[in-house]
Amino acid sequence: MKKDLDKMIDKALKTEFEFSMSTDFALKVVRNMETIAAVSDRRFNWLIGSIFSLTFIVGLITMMILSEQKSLLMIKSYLSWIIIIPLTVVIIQYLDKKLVKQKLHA
Amino acid sequence: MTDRELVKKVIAGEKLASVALIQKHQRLVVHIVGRLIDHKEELEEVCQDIFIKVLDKLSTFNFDSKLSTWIATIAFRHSANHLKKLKRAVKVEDLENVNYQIGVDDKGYEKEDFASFIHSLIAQMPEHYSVILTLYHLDGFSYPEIVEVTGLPEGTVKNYLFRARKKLKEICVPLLGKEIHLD
Repeated sequence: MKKDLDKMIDKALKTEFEFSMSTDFALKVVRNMETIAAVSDRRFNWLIGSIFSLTFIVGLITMMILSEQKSLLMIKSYLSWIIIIPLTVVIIQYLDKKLVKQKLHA
Repeated sequence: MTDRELVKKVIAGEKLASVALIQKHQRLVVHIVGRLIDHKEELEEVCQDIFIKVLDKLSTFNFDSKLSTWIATIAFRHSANHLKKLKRAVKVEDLENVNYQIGVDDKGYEKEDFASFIHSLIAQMPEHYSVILTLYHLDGFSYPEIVEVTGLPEGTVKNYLFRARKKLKEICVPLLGKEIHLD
C-alpha cells in the first residue's frame, strides 16, 4: 500500500497544477515590450535633441559675447557654418541609421 | 527550432520568435511564480515583467547554461524581489512548523482529486520547498540546475526535496482510505 502511495505521490507531483493565464499572454508581452521600447526611444530622442539645442544656444551666446559686435548681428558672418554643421550632423546620423545600424540588425 | 536559433531570431527583432520563446517557457515561469506568489491577480503581471526582463537581457545570455535554467533563475529572483518590495519576504519557516489544512471524511480518496490534493499541500509548504519540488518533478530540472536557480547549496536542495516528499507521505498515510475535500 505504501509503495502504491509512493507511486501516487510521484504521479501527482508530475501532474500540471491549475493556473489561469490569458490565451494571448505571449502576444501581450511582446506588445508591451514594443510600447516600452517606443517610449524609451522617444525619451532618448528628446534627450539628444535637448543636448543639441542646449549646445547650440550656449555656442551662440559664447560667440555673441566673444564677437566685436556683442549682438546677434554677428550671426550673419557665421551663417554658413550655422547651417553646415547641423546639416552634417543630421546627414551622418541618417547614414549611420541606414547603412550601419540596419545592417547590424539584419 | 533549437534554443540557439530562437535566441538569434529574437535578438534580430523577429516578433514571432519572441512569441515562440515566451510560449515555450511560459509553463516553467508560471510554475515558479505560482509557487512564490499566492495572489492569482498578481501572477500574470509578474510573469509579464519576467518575460520583458528576459527579452531585454537576452543579448547578454551566452549559453553557459540551458536557456530554461537562465529564464528560471530570472523568474525566481524577480518573484523574490517582488515579494520583498511588498514586504512579503519568501517564507523560510521550517517544514514541520506548518499547520497543514486538510479536508477529510471517512469515505475514501477520489483518485482523480489526489493530484490536486498533493498540489494544495505543496502550496502550503515554505516557498523554497515548493519551488524545488516543482522544478525537480514537474519541470525535470537536475540538482545543479536547481542550485543555479535558487542559489542554495546542492546538499540543501537534496535535503529539502527528501524532506518535502517525506512530509507529503507522512500526511497521506493516515488519510489512505478517506476522502479529501479540496476547499
